[in-house]
Amino acid sequence: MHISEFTGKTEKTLEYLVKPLSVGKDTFSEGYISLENVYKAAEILNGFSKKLDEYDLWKNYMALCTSGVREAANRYFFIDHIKINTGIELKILEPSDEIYIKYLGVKYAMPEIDNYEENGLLFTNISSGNIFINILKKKKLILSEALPYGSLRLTQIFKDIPVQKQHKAYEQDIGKMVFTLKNLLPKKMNIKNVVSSGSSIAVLTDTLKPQKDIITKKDLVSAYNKIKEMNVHEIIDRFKLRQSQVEILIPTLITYLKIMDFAGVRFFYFSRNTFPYSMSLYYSKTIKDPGLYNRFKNTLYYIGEKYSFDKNHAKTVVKFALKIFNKLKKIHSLKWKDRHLLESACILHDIGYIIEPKYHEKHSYNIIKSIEFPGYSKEFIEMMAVISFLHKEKHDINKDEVSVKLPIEKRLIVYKLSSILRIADALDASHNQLISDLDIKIESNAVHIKANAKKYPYLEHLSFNNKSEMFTRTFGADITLETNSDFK
Amino acid sequence: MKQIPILNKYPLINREISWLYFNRRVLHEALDANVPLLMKLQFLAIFSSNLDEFYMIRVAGVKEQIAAGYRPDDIDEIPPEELLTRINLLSQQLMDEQQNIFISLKNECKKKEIIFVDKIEGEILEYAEDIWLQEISPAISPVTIGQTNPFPFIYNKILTIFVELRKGNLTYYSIITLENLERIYKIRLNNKIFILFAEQIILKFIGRIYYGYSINSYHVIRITRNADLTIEEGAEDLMESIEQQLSKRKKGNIVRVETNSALSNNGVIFLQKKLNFNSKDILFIKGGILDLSFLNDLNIDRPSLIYKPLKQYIPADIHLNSSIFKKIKTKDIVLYRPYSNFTVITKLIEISAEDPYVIAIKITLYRTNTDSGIVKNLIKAAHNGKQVSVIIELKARFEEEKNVEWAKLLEDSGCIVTYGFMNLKLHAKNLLIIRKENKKIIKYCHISTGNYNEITSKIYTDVDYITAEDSVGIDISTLFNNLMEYSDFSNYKRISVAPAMIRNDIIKLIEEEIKNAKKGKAAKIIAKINSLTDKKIIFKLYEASKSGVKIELIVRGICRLIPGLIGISDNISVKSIIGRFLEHSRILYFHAGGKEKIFISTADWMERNMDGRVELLFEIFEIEAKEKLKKILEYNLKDNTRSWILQKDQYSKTASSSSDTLFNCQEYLMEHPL
Repeated sequence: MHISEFTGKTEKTLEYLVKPLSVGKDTFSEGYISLENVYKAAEILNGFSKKLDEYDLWKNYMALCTSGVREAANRYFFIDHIKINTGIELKILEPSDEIYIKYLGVKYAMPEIDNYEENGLLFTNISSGNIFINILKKKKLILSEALPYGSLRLTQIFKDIPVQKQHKAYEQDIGKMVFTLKNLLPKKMNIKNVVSSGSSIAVLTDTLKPQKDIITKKDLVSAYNKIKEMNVHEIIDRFKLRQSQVEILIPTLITYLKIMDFAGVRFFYFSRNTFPYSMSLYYSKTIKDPGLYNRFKNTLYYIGEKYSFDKNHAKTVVKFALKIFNKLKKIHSLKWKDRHLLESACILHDIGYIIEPKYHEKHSYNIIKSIEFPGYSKEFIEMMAVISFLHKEKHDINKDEVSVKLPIEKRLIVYKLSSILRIADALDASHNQLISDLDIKIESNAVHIKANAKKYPYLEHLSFNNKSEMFTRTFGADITLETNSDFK
Repeated sequence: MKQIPILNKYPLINREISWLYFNRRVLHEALDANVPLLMKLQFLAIFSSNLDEFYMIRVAGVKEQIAAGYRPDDIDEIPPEELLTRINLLSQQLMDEQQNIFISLKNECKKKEIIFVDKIEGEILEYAEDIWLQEISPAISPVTIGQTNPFPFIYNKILTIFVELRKGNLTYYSIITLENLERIYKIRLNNKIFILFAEQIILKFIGRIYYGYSINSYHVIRITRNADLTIEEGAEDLMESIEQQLSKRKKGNIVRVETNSALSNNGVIFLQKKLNFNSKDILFIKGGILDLSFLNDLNIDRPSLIYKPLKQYIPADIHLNSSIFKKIKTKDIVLYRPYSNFTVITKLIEISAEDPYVIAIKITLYRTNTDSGIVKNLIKAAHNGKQVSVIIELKARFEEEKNVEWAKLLEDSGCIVTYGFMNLKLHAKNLLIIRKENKKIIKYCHISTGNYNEITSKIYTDVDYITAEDSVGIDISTLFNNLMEYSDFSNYKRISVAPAMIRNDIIKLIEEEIKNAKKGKAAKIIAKINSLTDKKIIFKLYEASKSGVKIELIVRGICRLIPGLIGISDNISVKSIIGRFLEHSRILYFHAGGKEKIFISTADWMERNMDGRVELLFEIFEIEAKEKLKKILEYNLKDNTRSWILQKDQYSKTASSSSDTLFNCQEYLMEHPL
């Protein structure tokens, strides 16, 4: 528990509380949290609730659960029990949000991370249940994965293997994880820096006691070689660690060594910032990420390229769609965030072509839905996928099952943005960028688009006629297309 | 010089023997010409109470070691059987000395018309008979042991009259316990005060009790029982466990039997059979008056025979209203009890209870006084909607019963009450007041070496430190979170907490001095503590002495370190100050290469404090406060009237030469508050 006081953007830590309870141990081995631990958690959180009383924070707190609860079969019972017995409302944090908050926390503590990102950065957060890996280069998120290889989880998976052999099992399992990562990464990808955070850092710093916020591979190897020959009591005695830390020490050391081998680095930077501290900064809006949208956009183009999309078409559709969006501001009354949504959908609306042109919108939908990008919610990605799906005129927002799953208020946004995407897509229906620019005029009940075209865009006109119907229904205004008369 | 046990190649004085030396120093206050007469009597009383506690806890421990067949690991430690013999021998000597002093003081009292009646006769007889008839006779229940009258249970520290009777050829034994009786009765007659003892009156009229019997002999006896509480491992409810143990304490094993006259062989055998004690446990009180602790409660109003009144001061720049918070934010406040008035602290709690900006108050209670204003104000604060958290140390020795009561009272009033830990005693004394000022949280911390006790605050010397320093506030919050078991996080930056930290930190500080001494730099340590027994620290001090570090120790009580041994401790001096006020503050000074680090602490340098208690060590940064604390140390070292110097293993009172100016540290501080 981290309690902060904010004066403007200045954070002052009032209190920090830690009470370890391995609910993850239950979840990762049995699939649910034992009743005993549910009660223990309630007892601990009851103590924390006294702090909410003390500072009168009941309207101003955030209590989040990560993998230990998120993956437990009885998570809703757990959350309900805590609410009834302590008054604290727990929320489950999605993995992508978890990594994003952790990443921002590190970024706040380590401003130089921007430079590392430019040259190739592997950001990792090794917690009890998962290993989060983000690989960034030149303002693009090359890879973002939440892998179920957290140190505590590994100890539970291999708990039945004799202690002396467990390290071999960990090595093999983490080796498999690295193999997966290698396959996901472009061949010539060069990572220059590794930055880490997470609960594993405390274990490492307590063991290695580094003077600066850097851990070298040499130190890790030396510690690992010593520790794997020692028993639990010897480790506790030698390194003054808690029993719970010793349990995860070996898998933690192996994981770091494997990640360093994978990245080809001799040392990594780490941040001692705790997750609750990062949460505190994030939810108080103390840390912002102005580069987020650009990074996201760059990543979408990067994904598009991976699927050999028509980049010029995508860019053209983006250009037209945004122009229409901007011009129609008074009519659509959408927000800046929705403009991002439109742009994102425009970039990848045709990405499914590579699988099958006929039903490409369905494939686009599936591919987009699978994107996980720290900082963007599942809902945003879902809406983006639905907008892309609906760019094909045969689909109806009120009938297609992909869209009816969305809540009504979101459906309305999707409807408006899909209408715009359809028009923008129609204006480059030939994928030849025949139309170079638009002039948009709004009259009482009609929107008139005057397009500058290199030659008469037959296909665009045809497509426009087919696709404009949804626009008319959505905005209650006719939309017309007129191209340069020279070509008539 | 007696043989000094050598441990790990370094010499140490035995802990129990050293404690008895301390009590001898207390006893000798009653011989000091500068101590007023009634106060001398009070020192005799303190000596008695101290010795009682020593037997109930320490001797009980030695006897348990014997029973368990314990052999010390180190061959140089005294085996428990031998130690017990030595303890009893030394205690007997001290009690003889106490009785002799009492006899001589009785004569002095007589000159002041305070008469301890030796023989009830003349006009006193009539008064004594009235007391016998009206107060004593109806209250006592003599039990003559027989088949229908079993031997009654004799409670700890209760005076008992043991009577050997005869009827025909048969011998009978009878017991009269002096429960629910006044110990002394004062008769004011012709401007004189006559003091009679309850047992004296009973014995005067004893023939009236045993009508038809002939009385062979009678003796006043007093038994002392093991009173150490053992909290069972795994006990789930500390409060419940303490309550159970409290009732057991009254029935602990016998560790001492005092008697005013030699018992017959048969009498001893009879009592041993009934009470289960060893003949070595019998201590004979030659002067005839057992248990002089009553001298603390004489309540004789003779201002000329007591200390002059204590004038306690409140710093002129502190106003006891809500402006005090502003004052604390401007500058830390350091106070030195009893010269400063503890009201500053009690008032701070009272102000906080009413202050609309205070949102929470947290406090540790170890020993507090009956009718405590602090407790009342904590309850008031809870009623006013503040969150009040109180950590009561239920295991504070001989305060357990009272503390259980406090705990219930506070809990019923809506305070959050916790009891510390099963296996650790909470000895840190802290108050944390959390205030919301202009949407900002400000934490006001009180760190003290003394208890939140309004009574002892007038008798004990202690340091009170109040600060609003952010980093201290964070650490003290963390400490409370630990103590209330809300959190295990304990990464302290500004304070050091035992167990785990304080010993290491002290050793590091000593090592720093050693390093400086070896480099030829000035190196000095001054430590004012109550007891020094921790071997690791003592050995480190010997090492420091050998390296040339100058060490001045002011240790009021037990000191296992032996100063002045050539090649081992010749750079160490040890003094003990025993005076009107009980020296209780712990203040540490380390030269630190000229940086001069000053600390206050609740921890004595004993194993029990370092390993078995939650204690606090706090470095003072503020220059003015540091200077004040340095002054206290300076005055303590300068004192040459209340100080005892330890040379080898013997204490002697400072013999100031005629050219020396006499300096009484406590009196000086009364006249010149910091």
